[in-house]
Amino acid sequence: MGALLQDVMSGLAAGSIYGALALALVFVFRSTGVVNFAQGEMAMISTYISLSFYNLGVPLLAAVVLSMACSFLIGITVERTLIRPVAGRTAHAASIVTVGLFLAANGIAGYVWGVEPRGFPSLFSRESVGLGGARIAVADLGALAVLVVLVFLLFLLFEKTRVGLMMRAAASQPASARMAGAPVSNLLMSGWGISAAVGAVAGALIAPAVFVSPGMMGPVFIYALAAAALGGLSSPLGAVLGGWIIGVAEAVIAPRVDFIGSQLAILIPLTIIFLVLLLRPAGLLGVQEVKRV
Amino acid sequence: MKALRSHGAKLAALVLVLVLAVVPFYETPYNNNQITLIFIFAMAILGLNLLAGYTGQLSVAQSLLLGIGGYTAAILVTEIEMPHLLTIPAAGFVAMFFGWLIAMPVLRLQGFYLMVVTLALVFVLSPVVKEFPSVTGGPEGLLIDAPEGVGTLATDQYVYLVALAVGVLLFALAARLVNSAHGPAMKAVRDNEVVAEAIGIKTTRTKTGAFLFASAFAGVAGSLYVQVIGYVSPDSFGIGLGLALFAGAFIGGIGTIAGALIGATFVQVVPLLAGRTDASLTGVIYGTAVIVSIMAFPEGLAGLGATVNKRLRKRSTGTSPTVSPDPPTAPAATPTTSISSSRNETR
Repeated sequence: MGALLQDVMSGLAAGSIYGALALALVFVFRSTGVVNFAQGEMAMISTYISLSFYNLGVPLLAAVVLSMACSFLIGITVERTLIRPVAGRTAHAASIVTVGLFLAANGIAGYVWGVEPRGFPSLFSRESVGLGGARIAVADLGALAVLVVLVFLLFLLFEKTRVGLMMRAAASQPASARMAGAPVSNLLMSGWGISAAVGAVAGALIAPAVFVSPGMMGPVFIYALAAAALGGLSSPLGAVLGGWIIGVAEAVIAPRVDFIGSQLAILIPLTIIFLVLLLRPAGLLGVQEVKRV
Repeated sequence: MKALRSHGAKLAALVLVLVLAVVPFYETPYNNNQITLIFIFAMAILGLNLLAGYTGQLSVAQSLLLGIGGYTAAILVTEIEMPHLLTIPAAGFVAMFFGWLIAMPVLRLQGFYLMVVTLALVFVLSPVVKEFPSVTGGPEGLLIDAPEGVGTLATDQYVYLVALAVGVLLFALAARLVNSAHGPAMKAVRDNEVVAEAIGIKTTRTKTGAFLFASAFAGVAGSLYVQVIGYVSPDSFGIGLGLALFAGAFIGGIGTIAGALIGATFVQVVPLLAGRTDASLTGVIYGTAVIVSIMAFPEGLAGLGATVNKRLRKRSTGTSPTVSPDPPTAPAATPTTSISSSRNETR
């Protein structure tokens, strides 16, 4: 029992990180209808920025917050300079541009910071606490708490503020929103900015475990994509639930099924993506799109 | 006019092939191998072009299928000592079979969902290969002997010429396919699947067919790849190669046959040049080139002339190129229009 609880908790913690990155994906998708394949790489750059601030002597928490601000600026710059020019051209053009951004960001990080992995300090203590016969790492509880706070803040922003209302309007009915006086282009830009800032949080959470390197977000990004697909690309709550389901499934199944082991753990998100997209393409909480010609 | 252009293209292709056939007798083995690799990547990109450019199904799993072809060839050579030449069709068929397995569920998905799944699939090859070391050599991979030269041909010359011949065959096959009735059907699926379905095109069959061609081309390329490199390992066919091939397709011109060769040259040469200063620059150049080619040249480098021409024309006459009586780019039935341009024109 204790072992299971322990696995579930570490699964929830890992799932929170996947969920955070999935949340970033969902925000971009909701605001601009683009799947940002560079979301993971942007989070990787944000993590290097956090680390650079930290190495300058800034306290870790402040370094991450500063990096979130930088990431917000990077996010809006990307939307303005790279995404907007191709928006509305074809359904795929913007997504292909993000693939280009993926490659470029990866190369830039390697060029600027080198490819050797670097350590990253944890935001939380390395202690663990006893809970019902299991030892739960404080860092796991911390990741979970951070995600819950993040979701709560974004929920408040979107559902309870005027800006949030306008953002939702701009995403679902850009033309009408513009006519009603909403600054649609600024809102879309902010959507990318917020996503990048959320990605910075995901990067800071995962970095102590995987070290900081240009390739650090590769597998995490696959899990985040799976989480977003599972929850429904248009649902923030779905992204978080999706992250938790995938994290727990991995942590609980991998050690109990010999065949899977650590190597084939990647098959778990893949299977989930497959099943969800085949059985319920809109995801658990997403809205099915109706095609019109 | 169209016939003239098509004859011109055939003549240009013939001259190119003749020149390329002479090259290995004057080049160093190292350079011959580099050019052979360009041919190989061109085959994989050509397959992707049929799938993504003509049929509009975006996949980054081309490196996975290349890997399946590569492993098939390596295993056949090491386990049952199959002659290298025979591994080429064998690898093509095995990759096609896996492509079929993947295509059945995956092609029900659309647009970026397809990209999501193919992206995840690329991450599967390496752990699966490592899990079965008795067949695949595990993390160390498999070494295979290079094919022996034939007659006076050294190994590098021989493999070069085999790759050239196979490449010519695949390019001719692709050209035939897109100029047949299937070509417009594929484009109809790309441009609007619902409409294509409504006018009686069997969209699932068209998409599956394109996926099978893409897989087979990648598999054939994979078998030649191991003959040049002499080695397969689980990490040779990862997301890096997958994205490079994807990038190559878009840089060369998605939806053009000739673009595959340009894209492949890019994929092979840029890392070599970038590696002289810093290997990380490769990604920067790839990424920038993809973004620039999508933003500025919707028809890729192969369509550069047409794009520039179109813009000049637009500027000088002030009219939209879509209404000009003799548009510089060919009408939708010829292989020089890309996804973005043809969509623009229909809007």
